[in-house]
Amino acid sequence: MFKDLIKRQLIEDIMSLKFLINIVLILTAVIVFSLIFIKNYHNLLDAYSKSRMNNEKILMAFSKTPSSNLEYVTLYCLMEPRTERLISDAYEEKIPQGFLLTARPYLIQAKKQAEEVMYTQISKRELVSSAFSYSPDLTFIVQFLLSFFAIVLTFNAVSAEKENGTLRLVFSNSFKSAYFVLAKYVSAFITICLPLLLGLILSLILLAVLSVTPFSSSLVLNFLSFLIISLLYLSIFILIGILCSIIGHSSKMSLVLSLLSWIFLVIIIPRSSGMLLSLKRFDVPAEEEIRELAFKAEGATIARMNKQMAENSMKGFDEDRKKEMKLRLNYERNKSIQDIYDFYLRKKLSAIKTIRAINYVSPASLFEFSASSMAGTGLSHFENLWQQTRQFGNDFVSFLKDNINTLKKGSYFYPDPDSISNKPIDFNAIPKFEDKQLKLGERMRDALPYISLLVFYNLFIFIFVLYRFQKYDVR
Amino acid sequence: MIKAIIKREFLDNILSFKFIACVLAALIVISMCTFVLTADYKDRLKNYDKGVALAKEALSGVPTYSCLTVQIYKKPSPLSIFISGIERKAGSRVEFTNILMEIPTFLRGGGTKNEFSDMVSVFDFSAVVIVVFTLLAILLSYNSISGEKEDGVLSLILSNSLPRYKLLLGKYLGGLISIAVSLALCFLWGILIVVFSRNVEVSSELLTSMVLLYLLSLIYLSFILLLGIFISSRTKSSFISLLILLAFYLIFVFLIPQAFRTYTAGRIHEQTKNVEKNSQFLLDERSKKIEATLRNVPQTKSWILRDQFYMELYQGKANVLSRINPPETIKKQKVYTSIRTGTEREYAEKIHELVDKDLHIEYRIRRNLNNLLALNPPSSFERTTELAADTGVDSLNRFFQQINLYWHQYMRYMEDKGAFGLKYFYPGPEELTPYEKELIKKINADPSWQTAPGRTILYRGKYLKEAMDYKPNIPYIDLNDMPVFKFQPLGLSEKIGACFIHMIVLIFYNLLFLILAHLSFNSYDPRKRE
Repeated sequence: MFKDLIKRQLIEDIMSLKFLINIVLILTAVIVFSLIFIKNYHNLLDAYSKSRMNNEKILMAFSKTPSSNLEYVTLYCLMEPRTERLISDAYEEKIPQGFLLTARPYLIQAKKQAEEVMYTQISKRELVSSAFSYSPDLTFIVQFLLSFFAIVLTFNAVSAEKENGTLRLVFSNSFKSAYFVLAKYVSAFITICLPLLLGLILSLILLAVLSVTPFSSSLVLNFLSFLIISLLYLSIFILIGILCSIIGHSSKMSLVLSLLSWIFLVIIIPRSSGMLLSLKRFDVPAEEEIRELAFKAEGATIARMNKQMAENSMKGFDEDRKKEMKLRLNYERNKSIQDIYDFYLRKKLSAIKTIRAINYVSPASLFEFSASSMAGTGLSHFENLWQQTRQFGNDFVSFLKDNINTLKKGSYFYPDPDSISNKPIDFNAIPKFEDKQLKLGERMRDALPYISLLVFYNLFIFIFVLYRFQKYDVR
Repeated sequence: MIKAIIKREFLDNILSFKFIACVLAALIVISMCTFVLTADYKDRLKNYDKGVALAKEALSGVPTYSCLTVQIYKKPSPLSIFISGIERKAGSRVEFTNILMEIPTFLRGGGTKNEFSDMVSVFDFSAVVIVVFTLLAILLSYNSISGEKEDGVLSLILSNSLPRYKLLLGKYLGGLISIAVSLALCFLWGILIVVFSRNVEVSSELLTSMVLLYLLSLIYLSFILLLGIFISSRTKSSFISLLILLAFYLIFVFLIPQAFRTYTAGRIHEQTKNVEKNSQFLLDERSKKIEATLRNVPQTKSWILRDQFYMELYQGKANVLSRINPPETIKKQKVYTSIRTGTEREYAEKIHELVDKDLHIEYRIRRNLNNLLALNPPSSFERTTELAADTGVDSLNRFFQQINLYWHQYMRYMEDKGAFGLKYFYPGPEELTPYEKELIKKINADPSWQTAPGRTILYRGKYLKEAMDYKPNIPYIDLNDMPVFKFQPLGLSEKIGACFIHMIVLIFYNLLFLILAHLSFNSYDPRKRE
């Protein structure tokens, strides 16, 4: 009986006009978005490889005469453009594109735009990002189009049956009424699965044929995990549609209810939380002010260190000890600058994260976050890059310490023309920066909170649907 | 009779659940965004006032022309509360100095402080109209014909002697009036929030612009209504007409504009590489040229003293000599200054030309995009509001055009005043006081600098302390007659002119669909069942 119900519903759904419109829409969007992405991807890759070549040139010069070339070591550690951005772009182009690592003074700073990183002067007039600016990626298609389709598919699942009078008939059968809802749910789920699967396969094929990167198993794995998250997300909207059709007793009423809840959950809540950024508590100083603060902190550190040095007078020190003290001074002052930069970068990140936490009420945002965490793009990419850059900086410094250190063994080391020799080093031995993706396990761990919330919403609404349907009055 | 239809339709609409729910949703969103954007505007206005005062103050204590930094702030427009445009992100001021000449092409400071803010977005009035009111118009019109047929009312109405076009008109006007009323409610509510939040001056200009925005919104929503009626008269069941309209909503409101925008951004990125490629080259060329010319200046043996106080005050970004300097040094500095400023000015214009070329390409691509999107009513509407409120890219472009003109005007003024001569680096009058003359004579006689090679060296001899301690009262440069930059915002008629084409397109769509709906309704058969 249950199977019959599903079969009946499935045939009804798949033969309908809405399914046809939907599948055409989804496939067109997938093709257009994939093509746009691949075109832009080549540009991004160009810029990225240019910056890497630039880094290599600098390091090549450095390897010949390390000590005199130390101050020219300014390396850009940029986010590698990845094909995962087709799955979820997560505004990756709109956040700082990477870090600038300078060896003298030893500092790591976030840099905003790709152009700013590589060139001195740019026109800063970019396209206006309005409330509708989305990155055209697969996340957008699922988040927007398919969720909408899920609503359209199910908004009259119960109320139309009531209006047609079939609901009474169904109820007069002896099977449990929960099966009825379950059948509706399962068949809608399968109907949604079809265009999603087709779209994903299509974009995977386009990516494999037209993209420059080789087809890898990790990409397929990413698509698979995206499919699972998408299904979790879409299931919520199927349930919301069924819920609306139970709550609103006529199809018209349930239509309005489900459309409004869609608008609120998918557009208004995720799109309007940005307003909170102008609250006093998320306020951060402008870039110039941060630079000034860092300058002040540096001054304070120098004054403090000078006082300390004056107190334990350096008269008895030998040459090496004096050198070490100088290095320590340099270290302390640069660290005070770095601390200010890091503090505000962390503050900015946490402001955005707090604001995003408000969006957890909307499954659409949860889906967006989990997809970007799983694909390792957007904010999680940036944070990963930050960590990698710091790691790279440490590696680089310890490489200098181990290989061309001119100081006495065991003494304090800090990169400075005085502390390293001019002896040529092997270019291949110098650590190079490479943006590595997080491992699948780590990405999963990042996405887990969002995914579990999605599962929770699913269960919660499902139970609520069952509860409401038990009390449903057919008359 | 038509009045009765309008009245019935109007009452039907405003008492329906969908209407109340949509209007409530719109009111909630508008309250939130107006509140936040007003606070944001007030913040920007405060910064503007502070900045203008500081910039004026900075002009009153300039010892030499090399210390002069002109800061021009762009006044935030109160309309950015309703149509936020690019204003909140673009920055707040331009700056030009005489020590490093460049024609400004971007705004500094005061933009978004948090680099990650583009990850979260903000609603404004046009967004509410496009998202919520478009949906409302669809919900009000999708069953206007087919719904009546399904209820069986249509046959009844048509059996009256009422001509069909009157029925159509009645339905349309009834829907339009209910939308007009709710839209007016939202606009009034927004304006009230602004009025009651202190410190924001609600001028008549703002109100007229709001009326213009209101009318534009109404024209756009009227098109959606007509589209709904047309689709509803083409389909047999109201469900199918709803489906088609919602597909329209998704495709034309969300999908198409974004796909086009991303594509265009990619194209702009691809094609505007003049600045990236060549400006560094020009900058290098500039410094090489200056160096080469300076090398040809004959070297004389002399000494130089800088004014330590002002050099520190301007953080080394100025060139101020002490009044105690020999005539040879001053002569040489004059030559240096004329070479440096002349070349810098030449290259400032060259670099600006380069930037301008890129901007023209960008402008062309963007114009093509806008022309194409003008065919898509929601994008056309969005663009129209941006033009009518004058808070978008166009306003910024105009600002920079005027800044460019002003820069040349400013340069002419500087030349008239002889800013690139003695007064560029030498504070106070040209004549020396007897004490100064004597001190210079004393230092000239000091043998400590004469042993140095044959060029100008920094004086470090025994009279240094005396020269340093000498702090005469230097008269500041009088800049009261300097031309003042005044940004001309668009007047109402100019705003209407700017969005005229888009308005015409929207009106054309209105007429087209009115006629189509009329034709299609005329041939509508109320008897046919699915």
